[in-house]
Amino acid sequence: MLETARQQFDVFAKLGNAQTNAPLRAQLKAKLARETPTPEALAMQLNLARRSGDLAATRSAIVELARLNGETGDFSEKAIVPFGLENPTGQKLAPLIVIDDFLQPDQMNALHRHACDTEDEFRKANTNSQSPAYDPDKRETLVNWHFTEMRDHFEEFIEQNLAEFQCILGLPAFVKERMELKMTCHIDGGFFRVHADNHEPITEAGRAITWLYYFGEQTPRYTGGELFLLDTELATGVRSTVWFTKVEPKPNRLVAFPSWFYHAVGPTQVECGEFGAGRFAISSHIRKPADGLGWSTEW
Amino acid sequence: MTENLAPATVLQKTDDVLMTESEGVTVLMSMTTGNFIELNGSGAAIWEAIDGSQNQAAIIEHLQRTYQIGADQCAADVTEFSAQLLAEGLVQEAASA
Repeated sequence: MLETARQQFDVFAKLGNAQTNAPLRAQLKAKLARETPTPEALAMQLNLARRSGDLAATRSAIVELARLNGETGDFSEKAIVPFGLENPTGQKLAPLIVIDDFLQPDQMNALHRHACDTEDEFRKANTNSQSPAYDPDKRETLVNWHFTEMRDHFEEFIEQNLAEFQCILGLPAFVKERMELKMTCHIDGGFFRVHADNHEPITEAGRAITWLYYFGEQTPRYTGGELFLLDTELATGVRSTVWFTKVEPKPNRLVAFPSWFYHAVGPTQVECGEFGAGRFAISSHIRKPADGLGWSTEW
Repeated sequence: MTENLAPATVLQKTDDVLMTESEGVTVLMSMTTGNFIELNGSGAAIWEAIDGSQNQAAIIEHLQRTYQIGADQCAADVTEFSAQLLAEGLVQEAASA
């Protein structure tokens, strides 16, 4: 891993440390209880919650903030962060869908068994599709493009839920061109430094929705491997070095976000060194064709 | 950003700061920028001394006396760190009496 990537992850770890953030959040909560809440203070409550990876508190803070602004605060149960929110320095929060307990436990276990049984089909992943080269400074991921277990299930789920995902993520109703679908595993030392899955303008053909389904042992033996979704200024690609939403890769959790937002996967530690104890995911990109659809001006 | 703070400058803490102790280190967070500033021994002493009444010269003298530091080093540490706190919005110039 490059030193710059290591330093970046150290910053994420420090800023996202739940133990450090807890007393700060408690102070802010006390301040909000004492004084008339301002949008700025509520936004800070939201920002500290999401940076700490507290998704339930993130959602509650967004609802509270919406109500203070005279809105209903009613949005899909699947949405942790809805489209259109901005941080104090003007970058957009990545809209985020999270669905916990996505599969039945026995289905997840079968998927995990399949992954373990096909260990020899996993290869070291390339850095990106434009530059087909393995680069351990940028990424350490094992990937299997040919998994079979539950593949149809995931494809059908996306087929049936694409419209809702588009709506939550603030995307117009584009036609799905195709879906990249692979199984990944981060063993000890796995990571993927800050990147975006699509650098093209929004109306061009390319990846539009990135989704991940985390799975593995019911009680994980890995630590780390968090998803850091960085606040991004979409027009310029400038991303925040301070504000992000942290998502724990909890087994049986599905997450989705627009592919243009910068993100990273923190270093994974697997002390026992076993492949089966790694951080597994089904990792997918839903691609769209070039379009002339009515994209929100906020993009 | 660095600023030269005049010896007569009086700084006070803003309402815009959250503070915690983590593993023996004091951590300050600006509610504007979201950045963390970790205070080491001298940083914590300077932070403690900024109280809205002592000017920079008085803080330098106090710390120099308390910690037996060279005058030039102490002055450099205090002005540099105070400027950083100012830039982060953690302190502001106190209104003149």
